Amino acid sequence: MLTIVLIDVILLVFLLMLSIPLPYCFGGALMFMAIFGDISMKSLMLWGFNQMISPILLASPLFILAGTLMGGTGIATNLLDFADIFVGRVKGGIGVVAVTTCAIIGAISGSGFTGVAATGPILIPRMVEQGYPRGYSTALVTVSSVLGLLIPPSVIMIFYGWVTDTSILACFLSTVGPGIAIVVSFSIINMVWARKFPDLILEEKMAKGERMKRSLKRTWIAIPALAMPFIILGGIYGGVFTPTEAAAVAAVISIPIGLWIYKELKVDNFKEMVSDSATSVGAIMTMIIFTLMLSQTYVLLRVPQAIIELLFNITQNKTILLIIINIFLFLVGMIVNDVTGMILVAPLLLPLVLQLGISPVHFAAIMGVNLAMGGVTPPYASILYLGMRIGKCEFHEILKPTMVFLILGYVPIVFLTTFWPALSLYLPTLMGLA
Amino acid sequence: MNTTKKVLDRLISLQNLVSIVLMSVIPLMVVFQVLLRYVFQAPLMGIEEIMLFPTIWLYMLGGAMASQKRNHISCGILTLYIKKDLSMQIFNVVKCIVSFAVSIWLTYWAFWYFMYSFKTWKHSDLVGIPMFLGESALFIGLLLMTLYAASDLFRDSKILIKGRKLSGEGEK
Repeated sequence: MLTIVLIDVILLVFLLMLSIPLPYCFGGALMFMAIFGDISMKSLMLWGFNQMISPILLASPLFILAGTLMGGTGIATNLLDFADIFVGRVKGGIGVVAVTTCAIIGAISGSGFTGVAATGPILIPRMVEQGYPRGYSTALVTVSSVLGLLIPPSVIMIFYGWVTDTSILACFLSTVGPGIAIVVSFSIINMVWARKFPDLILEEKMAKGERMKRSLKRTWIAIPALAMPFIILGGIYGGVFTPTEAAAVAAVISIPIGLWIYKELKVDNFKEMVSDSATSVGAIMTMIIFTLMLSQTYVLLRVPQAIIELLFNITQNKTILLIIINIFLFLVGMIVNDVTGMILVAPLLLPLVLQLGISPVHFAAIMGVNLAMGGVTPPYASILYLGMRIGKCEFHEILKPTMVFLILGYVPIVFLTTFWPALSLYLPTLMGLA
Repeated sequence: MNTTKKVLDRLISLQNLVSIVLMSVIPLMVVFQVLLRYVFQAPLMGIEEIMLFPTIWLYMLGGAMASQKRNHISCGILTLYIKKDLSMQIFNVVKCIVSFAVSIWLTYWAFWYFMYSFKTWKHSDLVGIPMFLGESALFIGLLLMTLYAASDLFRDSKILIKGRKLSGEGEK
């Protein structure tokens, strides 16, 4: 039976390479399993529908809507202007603004796309104007956007908690440490690198009074935008909202902010944004249905147990096994998107990591940091492609800076997350969740 | 031909309108329940159960919209290496054939589920709404996705045939 599974995985990779839409790739692999793998489609259909109506799953569409609305309501622009107060005059300061704003946006949106979609159109041209190369500016905003998947609330953590039956609140907190570490490492790399750009134009020096006046004005305007992460995260951890409710609150709050406070939201673009969100929701949820069903066929055929046996036959060394798991997750992230990777792989690998003595919450962070990176590592690099479109730059321009940020700033944090459990477990333990 | 196009356009407009309504209503329902629970301390029983119906319709109609707009996520490795127009056109047709075939098979099973749901006619636990009203979304959504997959196949085949004819004429 495992041969059938192996052929099915090869077929799945082949369909993915053909660039067939993901729901049909997973549907095709499912079709193969139903025909050759002795899987009952009838029971799978009943099971699949019951999974789809889980209220936890509704958080994802609502965060998609919240993220889309944020892009068009002026929230991101005002967050950028606020962050600029602190580092606007420092060489490389605008790069730190990019990283920090993406992290703050991550605390509202839960997705990896929102950072680049909401800040890219404003920030990249601003960086280019100040003398940063276009490829560098686009790369920095794009890789920082990944923070949306690590800073809670995070959609992939909702899926992890859901498929592995782990506390979602604990999973959210597990990626805070790695997320902050990435903010620091990207900011340092950016500050060092920015010194090499000879023609950077810094903001003109202002009189102290004028500067203070401008800072106060920007802070005042940014208050509604800054309040959003507090409402969402405070609501979740204060026990007021579930993650799904927090997502709905984020989406609903952004409407009056956009309409009456920042006045960038109009009825026409609101309709367009809602329609775009509905399309994105459909694209993701139909893919999830078939990914879930396919993953379930593997579980039914005892693939997780086979993986454990196979890997333990190779080695029983925990360090080597963790490195193998990291490489595997990295490869998965390269060919499928974060949510799919999470749903497909988490149930398969969890029994193995439990045998290695790793807690499910720690594994949430390991999976989170690895799969989040998949969004910017080709061939499946949806966040990177979106960044290139927004930044109007070619692949060869963005490739080098992206690789530098990933290799020097991101990969070390992946290993730190894997081999230093306290980085991801400190906060969940502090809150009594792990 | 014109009638088909008209029907298809109306279908798309309706699908778009319903999706926009559903996408707007769902967060409002969730926030309404939060307000009832925390401000008025009187949560509405069964609202989560009612929400299940617009939610599943949103997922499936959104999926159909993504098919119609060709907005489904795909990996796209091979497309990076295909440079010739003709190769790309053949590639697109192959892609459409595979998508269409898989879509038909999935729709077949969704139809089985549709009939099963119709025959069993279960009701939701609290509010007693027939589950068929939600479960039928799976079949309708996949049927629409298959329709758009067929339309893509038709369009890409036409482009391929037209392209080949033109290149044939050029060679002559």
